[in-house]
Amino acid sequence: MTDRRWPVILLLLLSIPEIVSAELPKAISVSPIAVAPGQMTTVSVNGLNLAGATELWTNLDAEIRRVQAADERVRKIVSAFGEGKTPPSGTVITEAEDFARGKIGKNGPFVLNGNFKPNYAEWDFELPASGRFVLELNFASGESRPVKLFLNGELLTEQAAAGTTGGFADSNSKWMVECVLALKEGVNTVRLERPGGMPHFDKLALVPTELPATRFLSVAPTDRVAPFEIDVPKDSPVGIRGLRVATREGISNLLFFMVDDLPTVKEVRGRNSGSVSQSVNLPVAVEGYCDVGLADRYQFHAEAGESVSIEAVAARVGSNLDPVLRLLDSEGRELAFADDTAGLAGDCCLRHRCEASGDYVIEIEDALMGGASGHRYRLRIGDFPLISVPTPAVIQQGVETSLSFAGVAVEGLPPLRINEAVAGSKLISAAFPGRVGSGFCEVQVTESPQTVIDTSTSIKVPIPGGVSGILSLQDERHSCRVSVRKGERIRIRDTTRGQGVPAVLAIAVQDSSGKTLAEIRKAGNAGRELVWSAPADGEYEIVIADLTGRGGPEFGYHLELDRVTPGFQLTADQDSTILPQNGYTLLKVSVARDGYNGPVLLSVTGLGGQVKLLNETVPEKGKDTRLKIYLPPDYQPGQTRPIRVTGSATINGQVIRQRASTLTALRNVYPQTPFPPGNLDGLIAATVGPEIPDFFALSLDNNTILYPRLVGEVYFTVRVKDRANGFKAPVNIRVEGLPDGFSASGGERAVSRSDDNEYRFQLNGPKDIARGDRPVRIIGEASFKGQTKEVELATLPLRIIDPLLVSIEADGPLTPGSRRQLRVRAQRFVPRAGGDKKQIDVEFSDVPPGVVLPERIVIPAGKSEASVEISIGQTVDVSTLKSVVVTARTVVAESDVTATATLPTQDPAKSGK
Amino acid sequence: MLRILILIFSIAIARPASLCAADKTGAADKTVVPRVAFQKLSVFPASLSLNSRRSSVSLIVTGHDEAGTAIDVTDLAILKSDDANLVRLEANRATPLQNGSTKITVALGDLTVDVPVTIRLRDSDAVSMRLEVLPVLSRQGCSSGACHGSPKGKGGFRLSLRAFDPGIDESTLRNEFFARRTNPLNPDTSLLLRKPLTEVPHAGGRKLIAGSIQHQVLKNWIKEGTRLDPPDAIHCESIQLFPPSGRELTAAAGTQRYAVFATYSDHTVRDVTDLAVFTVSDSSIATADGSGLVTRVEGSRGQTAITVRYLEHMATSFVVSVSEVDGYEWTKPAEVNYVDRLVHGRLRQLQYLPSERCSDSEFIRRVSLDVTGLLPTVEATREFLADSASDKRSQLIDQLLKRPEHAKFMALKWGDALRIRAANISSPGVFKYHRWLVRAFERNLPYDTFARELLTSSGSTFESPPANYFRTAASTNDCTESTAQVFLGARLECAKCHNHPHERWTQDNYYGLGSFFHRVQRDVTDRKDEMFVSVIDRGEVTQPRTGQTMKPWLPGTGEVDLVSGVDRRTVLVDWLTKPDNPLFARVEVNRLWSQMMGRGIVEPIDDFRDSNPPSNSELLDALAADFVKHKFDRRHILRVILNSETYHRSSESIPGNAGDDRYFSRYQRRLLSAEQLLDAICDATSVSEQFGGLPAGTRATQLPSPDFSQEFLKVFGQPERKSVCRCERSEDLNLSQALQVANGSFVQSRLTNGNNRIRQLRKADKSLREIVEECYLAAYSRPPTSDEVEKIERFVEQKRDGAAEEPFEDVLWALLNSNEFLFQH
Repeated sequence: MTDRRWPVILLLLLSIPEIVSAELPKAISVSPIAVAPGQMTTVSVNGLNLAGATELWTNLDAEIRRVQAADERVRKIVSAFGEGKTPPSGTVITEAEDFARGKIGKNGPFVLNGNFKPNYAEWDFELPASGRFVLELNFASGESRPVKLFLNGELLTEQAAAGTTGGFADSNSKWMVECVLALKEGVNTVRLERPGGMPHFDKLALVPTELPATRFLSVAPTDRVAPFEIDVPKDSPVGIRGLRVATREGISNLLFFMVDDLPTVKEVRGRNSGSVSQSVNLPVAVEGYCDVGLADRYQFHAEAGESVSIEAVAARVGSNLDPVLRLLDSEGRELAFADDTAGLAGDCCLRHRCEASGDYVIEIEDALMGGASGHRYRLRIGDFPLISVPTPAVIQQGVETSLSFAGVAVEGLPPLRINEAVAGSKLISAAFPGRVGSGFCEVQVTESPQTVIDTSTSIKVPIPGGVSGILSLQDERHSCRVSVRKGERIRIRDTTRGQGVPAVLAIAVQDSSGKTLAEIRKAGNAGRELVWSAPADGEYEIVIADLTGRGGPEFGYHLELDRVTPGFQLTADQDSTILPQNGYTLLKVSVARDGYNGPVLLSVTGLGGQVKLLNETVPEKGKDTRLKIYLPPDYQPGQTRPIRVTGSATINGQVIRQRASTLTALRNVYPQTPFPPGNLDGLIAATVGPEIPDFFALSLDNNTILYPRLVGEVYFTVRVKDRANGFKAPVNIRVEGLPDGFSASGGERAVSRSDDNEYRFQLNGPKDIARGDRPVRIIGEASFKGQTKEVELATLPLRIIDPLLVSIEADGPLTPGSRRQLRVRAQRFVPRAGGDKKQIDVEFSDVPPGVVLPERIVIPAGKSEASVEISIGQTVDVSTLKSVVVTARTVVAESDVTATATLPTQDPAKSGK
Repeated sequence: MLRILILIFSIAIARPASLCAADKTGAADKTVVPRVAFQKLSVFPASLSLNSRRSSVSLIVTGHDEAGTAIDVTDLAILKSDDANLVRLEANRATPLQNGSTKITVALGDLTVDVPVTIRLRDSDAVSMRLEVLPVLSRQGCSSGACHGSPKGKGGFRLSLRAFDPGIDESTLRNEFFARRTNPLNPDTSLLLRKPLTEVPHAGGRKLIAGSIQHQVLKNWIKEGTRLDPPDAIHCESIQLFPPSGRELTAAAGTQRYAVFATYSDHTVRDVTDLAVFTVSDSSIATADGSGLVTRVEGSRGQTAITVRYLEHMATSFVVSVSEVDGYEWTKPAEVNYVDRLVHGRLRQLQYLPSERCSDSEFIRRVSLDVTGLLPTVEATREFLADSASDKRSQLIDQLLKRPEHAKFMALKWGDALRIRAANISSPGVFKYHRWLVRAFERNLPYDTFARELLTSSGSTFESPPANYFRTAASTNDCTESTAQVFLGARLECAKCHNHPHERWTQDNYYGLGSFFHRVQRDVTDRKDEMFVSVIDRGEVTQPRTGQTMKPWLPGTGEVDLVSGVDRRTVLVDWLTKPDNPLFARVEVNRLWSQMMGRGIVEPIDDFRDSNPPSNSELLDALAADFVKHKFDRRHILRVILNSETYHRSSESIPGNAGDDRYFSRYQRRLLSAEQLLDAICDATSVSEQFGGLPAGTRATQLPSPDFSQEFLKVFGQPERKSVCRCERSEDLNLSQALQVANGSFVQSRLTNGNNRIRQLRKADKSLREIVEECYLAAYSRPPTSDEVEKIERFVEQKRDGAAEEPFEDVLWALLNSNEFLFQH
């Protein structure tokens, strides 16, 4: 390499765009899995690139606050034990060695390391009334020895007493403010714990204060942990929600978490497997994860006659665990077993009536013999209903409805009166009167009237409308009647499959004689909808049963009936998106048409009225559009918004609106969770991200697409260039603006796996089109760092030509007295498949005097060039050579085609003469 | 018994060599006076009703001594027709001549039996193509798979395989080849006759003898114009082979004549012995000629099946060949239960002696491997050997049957039959199906319930794991074949395309059985890897050859009429699990027997057919009856087998049973299965193996599927589970196996492992003697002999100059490479 090349290389390097944006946040797990209604709960999202977490996006209506590394308020609290100070009235001081329980060393006034694993001590403070107190610790520590601080069993922080006092001697003892505790009336237990050497604790003090309680985290915020406080309203129903972490770079993937009214305890790892069981008091929800090949065991006490519900929540919150439950008696005999309870998408539950008072053990393990931190679970144990679906499963918008419940343990649940004003999916939960712990399910809200049916009735139901029921017994059949006119197309949809319902319905339509006119007896997506046309005016019976004849109290169902009218359905390809500053985001919105071919106008809600859209219309007969959403003003980086895309169209004089579904995108993320929480469908989490420059460019050979008429097809190649560092993803290239009758295909993927940059298109069009130029656009679309961009080549000509091109090149300057070889090149376009081979006749005309050139030559069939000698006399004015016309003639597609060219002329000044 | 043998021997001596057929036919002055005092003479058939001049009948004459033993005296008896104008007798064959009634007198010494004869000849008596011509072509081997019955025929002449498709044969015999095969104008010029007579070159050689009955059938059919049977012609409904099972062949009475009778749809019965095909399942026991004469092989001992086929019908009769063994004397070994009684009965009959009782060491090793797949631990072995309780073996059996390892080992075996592998049912499906299996054995699920849950399962393959049965058996035909082989021990693949060549199964049967599964529907669901199995109420099987819609059909029951809405699978399972089902219980007890004894009473265990008889049908019947009586409790049957003295026999042969490999006079020595061997090496060396992502400590004998396999298991024959056939588990010995054990990385890594048994013991400062003893107990379940210890001490001493562990590794290596370790014994 010579020195002269360096600038070129440097230039090349500089020309590669440098994307300085940091990595996108990635969420891996959330701890705890559940937050409690009516409480402030600190949750930690664990993942990657979370240091700059700005917001926690959820579909839960709650106050959420990001918790900082240290609570600034604590720093401002002055110790009540400063020199010359007297602690206020009500201050409680205890000697450290007066602990109520513990395994810890004692030395002089201190409690310290006793070589226990862990060392711990618990102090009980009995208070006459609840109140807030500053916790101050008096200790000596020559190095930072952070300890775990628990209040009433809840871990507040792992960083308590982390400060140093200058040494471990008595003389080094100091009072240090730790935090503000909200203490309850009665006994409050403070626990300090550390596996190894502890600070030398001398005293603990609770100092009354009016300051608000301060929160601590078990894990400090880092690049891998983002802690948030979630203040869940008391009336929030139990159920599963979604969350994402936003940073200034974008938004993370979706995680599931719960709102749960059962008290949470964590598994004590190492003490809940093998022959050892962790004791728990009911009701409770244990959170933990399974290790490979080991069952986690929890022991609880139950009285004779007591019924216990046990429910594993794992797959439904995105865990890798495929849970299996085994309930054992104190002798280790199996009492109940559950794996893959129907309707729970891989999770399982059971209900057991304990015949004898005593201890019972519930085991949970992975059905697939796997295990790791990703195999998390929330194991709910108590006397709570196991609800599969409400009845009716769907309620009419704005109509007060009394809901009962289908489920394994629902007897005694009072009906729930509900009136919802907004259509959509709503979580509901219910508990047995006087019991802690709820069962949960979803109810759908629609505009249509709803009817509940059972075996004893075959009532007439309206269309549109819905029917609900419970197939309580094996082989139970329900039916209802509908009145239909001849030729009317009726759609019957099973809508409950995704709501935790075990029933897989078989649906049949029968005439008055009992003859089956239409039926559907399939599982999966194929079995969810039956469309049927009435052969005559009249009443028809719709018969409903489980496909395999199952039945039971949990086998609730719902059918939605409507007339098939022209309409459409929308799907958005993403469930989250980054709105770059000064830029736009791209959403591919697809239209599934059902009898309607007109345009669909899209709108976006959730970003305010100033949102600007582009490509917001899916054209007539169009299948999709790439909706561009531009960032509205006044949005800050890291800020999140829930947005929805809605399409509207006027069909038969009526405005029809449909919300775009994101179910496909959600399923792509969680293939084992085919039915994510219903209220996540359609919700797109948008966050404001950084502006990143174009990370690729496009080029087209010769900047022109040559289209040979008569042949009707041609190939051309688009290349991706100037890829940014780190951008390796394929680019989706499309051609827009083609004249009518043209189509281009092949740009979805590169020609070869080894070269991501070459995309070959096949252009097809009419054969009898006139020559000329038409403008077309070539657009590349790709995603990088969570953002999708389009790059467009400048508007290009589509040049429609005869299928023959000819050119001439001489092997040297055409100068007076010279004798040269002319190379005649002809490009004969033929269909790719079975293209014929024909010779090309080349004529030279208007040859000036003094120039010797054959009148014609032939380029043989199958060849594309030929050479001919030209002799130029000494006296010939070479400028006259340009009058020579080269005419090529051949036959393509049984038509004569002609192309012409002129001789290349040489500027005399450059010829050296 | 001895007395009977003497009597039979007397008959043989009394039989004059000149007693040929010519002597007997109508020769009133010829009488045979055997020295045996037969108590009774019987003739089959007891009466004759003849309607065709071609329907001659073979009379089978049996003499019964006072012990009731039946001996074939057909060739000794004198047959005489009362009216030779009505019936002609040739040897033991009676041929009608004209209408009338008479009788045949059969005499043996002083004993005589009259056989009434009624003759009503049909007016029209043309040769039937379907009932006579095609059987002859089948009998002569013309329509066999190796000859013209192959799919492309031979020499341009194609017949349907064993005449299963008469339509093809009608065309090829009458019309093809310019009609030169059959020439009604001059029958003798027909190629159908000239070729097998080798009057013109015939690659298949001579297949016909001029003037024989078979030749006459063909010639007469041609002469009569190669007429086809009318559409309403009678057809054969069943055949009967006489005598039935139970006859014994001895050195003295070494032959038995058989006759075959067909019952037609018009209720007429005809002797078709000359039209039927005789085969013998074990030609080392006896042979059969075309006339139905079965002859014992000199010196043979054992049972064989005589199978006869006429058209698509088959019949079987078992015969036992007994040879006198010099100095044989029954030792009256102890009998714990009916297993011993029945095994001993067969052994006495065949004059075998049972081996000695195995040692306690052999027993604990054997029973642990058979029941759990694993070697006993050193501690368990020590405890057992030290136990002086008289019922300690029985106690051990009970303990082992309750062990979770037993359930998992049984699941491994059934996993093969159910083809549990990820490629069939997805990875999650493997775990869920396997767990269901393990739980079924843990709970000792009754076998009928087990079968019902498998064969009638519906729903999600995750939520209802047995529904995976219909995922592995992904088509109607697969369901038919798998179910037949697993639960009926019948290999039906052949019958898919044509009537089974060696079995009763016809192509119609195949598709009739298939119709029970045809309405199973398999849907893909929204959940990844899940399938939903359900049953719809429509859809019928079409027989591909005939185009006929097949009704559900059950063996022994025939076509079944079912009402709409019934899950046909439940009807099949109702039939299958009936206590009197001839196969369901037998197949399973045979499977259990094979697992414990190393060989099935019927072997292969999934190949029950007439031509593959059980080695001890009484034992098989008794086990099956006990199984049914105990509500299909598999653990009960295992307990019965394991507690029998038969199971406790040594694997060492004794002079009185060296030749026995099928009558269970000793325990069947066999190489450990792939999984057993891998686990045994791990246990002996105390170094476990890790399988894929499975939990540490997972044993090879507990693997849910071969998806977690490794090379060692493959080399030793672990099946891929692509087929339900037990034969997929290779039991062949090969060089790779020897190399694996001698030099393979799996064994070597254990011998050199830093924490293997040797090193653990050395770290614990155990003496050489203690180390050797523990290694012997771990590998062989016995302590070493003093001689063995001394040899090892000398060996270790000689190798002291090398690496400290090396001589110990060599000792362990030697143990692992010994037959005592590699074999189940």
